[in-house]
Amino acid sequence: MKLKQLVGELQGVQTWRHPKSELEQYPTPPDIAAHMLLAADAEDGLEDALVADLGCGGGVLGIGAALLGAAHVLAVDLDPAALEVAAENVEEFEVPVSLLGCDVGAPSGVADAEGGADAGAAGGAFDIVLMNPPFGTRNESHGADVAFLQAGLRLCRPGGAVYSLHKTSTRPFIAKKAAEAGGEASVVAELRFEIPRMYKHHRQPSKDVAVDFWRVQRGGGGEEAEGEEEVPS
Amino acid sequence: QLLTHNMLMAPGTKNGFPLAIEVEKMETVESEFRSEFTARMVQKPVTQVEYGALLQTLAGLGMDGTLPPAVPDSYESNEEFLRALHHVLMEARRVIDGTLVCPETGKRFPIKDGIPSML
Repeated sequence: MKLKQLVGELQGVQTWRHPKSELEQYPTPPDIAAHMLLAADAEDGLEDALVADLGCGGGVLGIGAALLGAAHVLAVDLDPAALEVAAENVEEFEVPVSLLGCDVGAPSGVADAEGGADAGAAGGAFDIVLMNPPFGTRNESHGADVAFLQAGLRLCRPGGAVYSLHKTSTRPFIAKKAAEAGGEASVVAELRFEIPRMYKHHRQPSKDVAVDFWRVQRGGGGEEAEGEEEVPS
Repeated sequence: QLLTHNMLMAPGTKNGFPLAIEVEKMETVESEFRSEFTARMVQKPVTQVEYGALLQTLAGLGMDGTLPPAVPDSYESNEEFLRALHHVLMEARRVIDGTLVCPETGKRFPIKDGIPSML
C-alpha cells in the first residue's frame, strides 16, 4: 500500500474523545503512523506478522499494521475510554486486532521473557512491537517512555523489533536504556510533532517537538537468549 | 480469543499462567487461515509448556479432544493439525463476557465486550 493511501485509511481511525493529561495521551497523527508502519514493513515485514501495539489509544498503529498484512495484533492500553474507542475502530475496519486493558509500565500482564511460566523462558512471541509511548514529561508518566521500551523488547521474539517514538532530547538516554535491555538500537528518522494545545497546562497554541523514530531489535537471532543478556556488538 | 489468552499472565506473579477462564458469553468468529503464521505460533521457545497450557484451557472450556495431546512431528506441513490449531486459537470460543482467574492468587480479572482488563 502506498503512503498516501495508508494515510487516507488511517485518517478514518477515531481518536479518543477526552484525552487525559496525566496519562500524557497524544494521538499519533495518521501521517506519522503511516511512516512508522511503512518503515517497519520495509525493514522487518508486516505480512503475516504477530504485532503488538503498546499504549494503543484509538489503535491507529495496530490497525495500520493489520491493513498492511499482519496476521494478528494485540493492542494494549491502560485507559478503558481509549479501549472503547479502539474497539469501535477495530470493528469498523474489520481487522484481526485483540484488545487488552493492562498497564504496560507495571509488571507485565503479558507472558514475556522474564515472566514466562517456564523460568528459563527465552523471548516473547511478537515479531514487531509498535508504540508511541508517553514521553514521560508529566509527574504521573515519569519513566513511562523507558518502561514501554523495556516491555516492548521483552515481548519480542529473538530478532524481533520494537518501533518507538521518543523525544530527541532523550536520545543518549534511550540509546543507553535500549542497550541495557539487550537491544540493538538505531534512530530511523527524526520527526517533528506538532502537538496542538490540548490540556490546561499547555500555554502555547501548539508546540513543535523534535521526536526520534527508533528501531530497537531484540538480540538473540535464532538462538535462545535470556531477556537481559548482552548483545554482542 | 485463545491466541491472546495463551500469552496472558497475571501481573506481578511468578506462575500466574495460564489463567482459568469463566465464560458468561462467547461467540465463534471466522478468521482467515494462514498456515505459515499458525505454524510459527507453535515454534515459540516454550512450545511444550504453552501447548500444555492450551490443552488445559481447552479442557476447562469443554473442548477436550479438539487438539492432539502433543504437537505432532512435522507440524509445519500437517495441514489438519494447523487448521485445528488455527480454529482453536483464532476462531472458537472468543469470550465476550467472563472472568480470568489467576491460578496462583485466585485474583479475578473481568472480560467485558471481548476486552480483558488486567489493571
